[in-house]
Amino acid sequence: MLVINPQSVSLIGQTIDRVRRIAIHRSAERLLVEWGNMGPYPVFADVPEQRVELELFADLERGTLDGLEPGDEGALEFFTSPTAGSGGRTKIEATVVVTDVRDGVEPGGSAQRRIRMEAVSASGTADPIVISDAEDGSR
Amino acid sequence: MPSMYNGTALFDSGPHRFMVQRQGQTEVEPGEPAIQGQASARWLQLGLVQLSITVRGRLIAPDEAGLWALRDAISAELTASASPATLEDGNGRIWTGMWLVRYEETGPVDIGRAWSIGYKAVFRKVGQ
Repeated sequence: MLVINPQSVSLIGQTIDRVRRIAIHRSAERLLVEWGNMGPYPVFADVPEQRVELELFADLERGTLDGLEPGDEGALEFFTSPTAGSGGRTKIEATVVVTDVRDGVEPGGSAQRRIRMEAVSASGTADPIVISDAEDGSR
Repeated sequence: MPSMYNGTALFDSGPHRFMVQRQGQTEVEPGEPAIQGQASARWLQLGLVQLSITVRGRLIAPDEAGLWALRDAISAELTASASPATLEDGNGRIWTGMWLVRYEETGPVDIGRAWSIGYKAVFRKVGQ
């Protein structure tokens, strides 16, 4: 999942401006593959442990000495919309733990911050990424 | 054709494989000769080992209750089998007079698309 130019990005109580994109990666942390007695191909596969990692890329207007740290936990919230209006507007929420924060200068000359996060589920059964309709303009 | 033990398809919920364990004599290794120059004692053979068949696989169910039903069915054979029974591998091979002597789970329950758990079950031939 990739959201280009998300709106109103809030991360652990801080508003983050000029966010270029947020990517949500899903991967198997542990993969079960089982073979039977009958032949060379697996007959069962499942993913009992999976990870949901997020990457946020934002432009920095100037140099900065503050920011989030690995281990910080809280809510990430942002909106995406196909148009400038509220039609099709969607809210995306997750509880995240920051795992990596890197600031640097892109080849084009713009300063950029990349924040990597691990999404966590309250119960272990619910998808940690919650997507809801926000066409009513709610925040 | 499902694999069966005692007329029940205990393992057919998921993939499983049959392995015939070591066959042959049970031997005792000779010790060092007590007196230097004395010939070594011969290996002592105690008789044929019992035939052992191991089934390794994964029990799979759509929910927790279904998985417990599969696990309990195997446990019931462990505790309730007063007499040996027939083991069939599902490919036409049949071993008569087998006892389910051990059932061991190889890890915690895995919850993904399905509920599943890996296991090892050991059967031994009676009176061999």
